[in-house]
Amino acid sequence: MTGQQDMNDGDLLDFPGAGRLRAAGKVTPPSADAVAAALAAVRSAAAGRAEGDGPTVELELERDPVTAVAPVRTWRRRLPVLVSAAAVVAIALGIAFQPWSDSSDVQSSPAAERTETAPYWKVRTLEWMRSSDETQRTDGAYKTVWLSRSGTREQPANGLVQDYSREDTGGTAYVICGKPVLWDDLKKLPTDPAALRARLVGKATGEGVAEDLYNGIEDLLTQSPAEPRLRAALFEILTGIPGARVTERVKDSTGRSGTAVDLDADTWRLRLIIDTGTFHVLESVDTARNDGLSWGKQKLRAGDLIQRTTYLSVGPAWEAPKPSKRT
Amino acid sequence: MATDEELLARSGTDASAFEPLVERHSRALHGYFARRAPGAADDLLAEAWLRAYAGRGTYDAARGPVRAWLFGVARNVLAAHWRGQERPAAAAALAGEASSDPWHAVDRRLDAAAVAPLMRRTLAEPPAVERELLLLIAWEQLSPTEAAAVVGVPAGTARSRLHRARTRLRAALGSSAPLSLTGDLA
Repeated sequence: MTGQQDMNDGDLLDFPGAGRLRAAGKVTPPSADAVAAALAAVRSAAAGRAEGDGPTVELELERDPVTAVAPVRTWRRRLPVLVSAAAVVAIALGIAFQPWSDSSDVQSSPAAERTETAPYWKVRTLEWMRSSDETQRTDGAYKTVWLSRSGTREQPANGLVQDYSREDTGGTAYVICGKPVLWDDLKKLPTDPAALRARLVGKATGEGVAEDLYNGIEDLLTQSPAEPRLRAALFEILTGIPGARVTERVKDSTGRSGTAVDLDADTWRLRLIIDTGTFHVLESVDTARNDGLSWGKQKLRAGDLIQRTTYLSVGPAWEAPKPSKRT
Repeated sequence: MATDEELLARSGTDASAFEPLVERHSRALHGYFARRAPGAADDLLAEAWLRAYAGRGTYDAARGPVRAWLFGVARNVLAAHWRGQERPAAAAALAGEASSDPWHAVDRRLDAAAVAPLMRRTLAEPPAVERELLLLIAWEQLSPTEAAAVVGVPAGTARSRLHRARTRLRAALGSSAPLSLTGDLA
C-alpha cells in the first residue's frame, strides 16, 4: 500500500474538536474486583472444559435473519432495468467481468470453465486518494482483494498479502443502514426491488438513510458476488434514492462508458459509474461538492477529486494467495 | 514475555495461558464497554472474556492481532446487550438506528463531557458504521485496518468511510463560529 492510501490517527483526527472527542472517551480503569471476576469466569469455564463439557463453543452470529419484509412506499423508477442475458450466463459460468479488456492489467480467470460457486470474489482496482498534505502523488495504487465468506484478503502494491478474516463473528458483512448482510445472505435476498429495499433499509429512518443506502449498495455492487438479478435490483434501488441523479453515457477515467448515479452527501458528491449491461461498477468517484472544502492546507473547489476507485476486473476466483508472514 | 498470539495459541492445550490475556486487555475492553454501556461494563467484561475463551479456537494469528479480535468479540457482546435492553420500538425508530447501536449511550457521554453540540449532531448524522469506525480509532486507539476488522467490513470500505467521516466533521466544525463550540479548535 502506498503512503497516500495509508491512513493513521494523525490523518483522521485532525478536525476541530478532536481533542475534546478523545477526552470524552476517558474512563476510569476497571476495579480489581471486576478483573478478578472476569478471570474467575474464565477459570470456571476452563475447569468445565477440562472436565469434558464438550467441544469449543462457536460464537453465535450477530445478525438478523434474511426474510422478505412488509412492503414500503414505492420509490420512483427512473430507468428501465433489464438483466442482460449475457451477464446471467457470464456469472453462471463464473466468468470474471473484465471491461478493460485491452489492458495488460486484466488477469484471466481460471474459473471460466467451472459452474459451481467459487469460494472467492476477486476484485482488482486502481485507487487514488487525495493526500491531506502537500506530497500528493498523481498516480494511483493497484490493489487486488479476494473476498470470501470468512473475510477479506488484500494484496496492495507492496505485494504483501494481508488477511482480515472474521470467522468468529460470521465473516464478511456488508453493513447497510446499520444491519449486516452476510456472504451467505446474498443468495437469499429478494430480487424484487421493493422487497429488497425494504429488507436493506429495515426500520431505519432519517436524513442519513439515503447516503447509508447508497454506500451499502456500492459495497454490494463492488465487493460482493451478488448475482445479476440482485445487481439489477440494487441498481434500480440506487437510482430511486431520493436526491440521486442519473446521467447516461458517462465516461470513467479509463474511457469506458456507463451510467452515472450521483448523490450529494454533505460536503461530498458521490458518483458511481455503472455498466448497465452487467450492473458492475466501473468506477467510484468522490468529489468536493462546493468551493472551499478544506483538505489539509488545501482549499478545494467544487468538482475537485477526493478519491477514485477504478474497477479493473471483478469475478469469481477459486484460489487466493496465502497471507504473508507477519513480521 | 510471550506475545498475545503465542498465549492464545498455547491456551488451546493449556488453559492457564489464557489468563495473562485477561490481565493485559481487561482495561481496554472494560473501557470499550464503559463508554458504550455505562453501568453494565463489569458484567459485559466477564461475558466478553467467556466468549473469547470459548471462541479462542477460531482465532488465527495470520489474520490480525489478538487485540482487534478481542474488540470484535466485545462488539458482539455489546450488540447483544443493547438488543436485550428492548428499547421501545418508537424510540428506536425515531433515533433511526438499529436497536443494537450504542449511539444514544455514546451521545450521553459526549454531552456529559461537554463536547460541542455541533460535533454531537455531526457525529449523529453519518451512517452508524462511519461513526463506529471513527470512535474505535479515537477511543480504542485501533488502526483503521484493525477497526475495519472489528466492524467486519472490508478495509478498503473502512478507509473511504473514515475519509468521509473526517471530511464531514472538518467541514461542519471548521466553518462554524468559534464561540458556538465548546470543543477545542484546530
